[in-house]
Amino acid sequence: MDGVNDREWRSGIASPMPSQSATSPRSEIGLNAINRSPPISRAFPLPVRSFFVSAPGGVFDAEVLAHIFGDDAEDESPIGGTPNCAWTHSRSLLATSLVSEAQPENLLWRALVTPLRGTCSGAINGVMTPDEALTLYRPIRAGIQRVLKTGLVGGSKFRVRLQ
Amino acid sequence: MVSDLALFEPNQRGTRAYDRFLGDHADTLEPGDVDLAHQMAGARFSILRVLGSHDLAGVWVEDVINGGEPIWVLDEGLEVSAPDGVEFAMRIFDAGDFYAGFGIVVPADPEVTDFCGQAVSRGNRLPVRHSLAAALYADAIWDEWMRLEEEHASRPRRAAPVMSCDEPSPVHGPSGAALRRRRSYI
Repeated sequence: MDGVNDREWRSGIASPMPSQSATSPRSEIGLNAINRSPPISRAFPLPVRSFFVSAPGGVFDAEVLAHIFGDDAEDESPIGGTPNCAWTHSRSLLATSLVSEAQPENLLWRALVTPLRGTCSGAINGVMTPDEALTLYRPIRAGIQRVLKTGLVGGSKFRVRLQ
Repeated sequence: MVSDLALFEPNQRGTRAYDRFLGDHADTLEPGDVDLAHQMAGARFSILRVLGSHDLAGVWVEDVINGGEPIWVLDEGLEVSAPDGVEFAMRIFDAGDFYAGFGIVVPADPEVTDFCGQAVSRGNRLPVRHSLAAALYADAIWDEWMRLEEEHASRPRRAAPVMSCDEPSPVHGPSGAALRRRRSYI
């Protein structure tokens, strides 16, 4: 029997991002950006992000859901093109999923959100807006100045007066 | 520049003032800055080459001396002013989402970049007297002084004021072209 109904119950590790070594430097750079993008990695530690439990052939089969929700390499994301919308949806959904996963028996909900997580992580990673990046950066820039100033005064054995 | 060197360059015993500060006076930092301060402890000074603009903000750079993967440096000034391929030196640290600099960017002489790259590839120490940062900061200050001197020399002179013998005459160094080669390298 072919198709999704032929699959067995399984749990496993989500496929890693394929190596892009043969592609252009630009795409490598893009991949690095994706790999480095921390919002999703902070929200979901690797063991939580990478593992899924799927039921074979059922509505909650992770691969079926992945297809439905667009976490398929050949399909376009249903929320693609509206990154802010994707970001908003994913944050609320994933935040909810974190709470739900505290209950190990809640496989149904986990199976439901797992493919969404894949889709939304792509949205978060790939379409972070410049404003969001600068929103992260500006407090850091201000913090650097504060730390350097404090460090210059506190790290010196001498009395330092800064103008 | 002086502050940067004072905090982040190790002394003869290999210790940094910044580490001493983090160890002894970290409580003087604002609570929200403590994590950032520890991230900043991992800062490194290196020569970087701009690969291109990042899609969001800042630039992609590669470490010319140490190699490695391209680095996303989020710096609005660099994004605006640094063309692709330009080489510069700055102290950067991993801020989590991206790398951030301390705001001091100095040009990197291609000759120096080449020498440093060769030295590192052969496992030798960098061909600088004290530290790469100190050498490049000194160059930057020296070049700026030369530029100002040349600007000053090219201005049309007014009639020379009458000066008494007691007044010091304006001091002009040798020509900038000759002095530009005076570097702080070994």
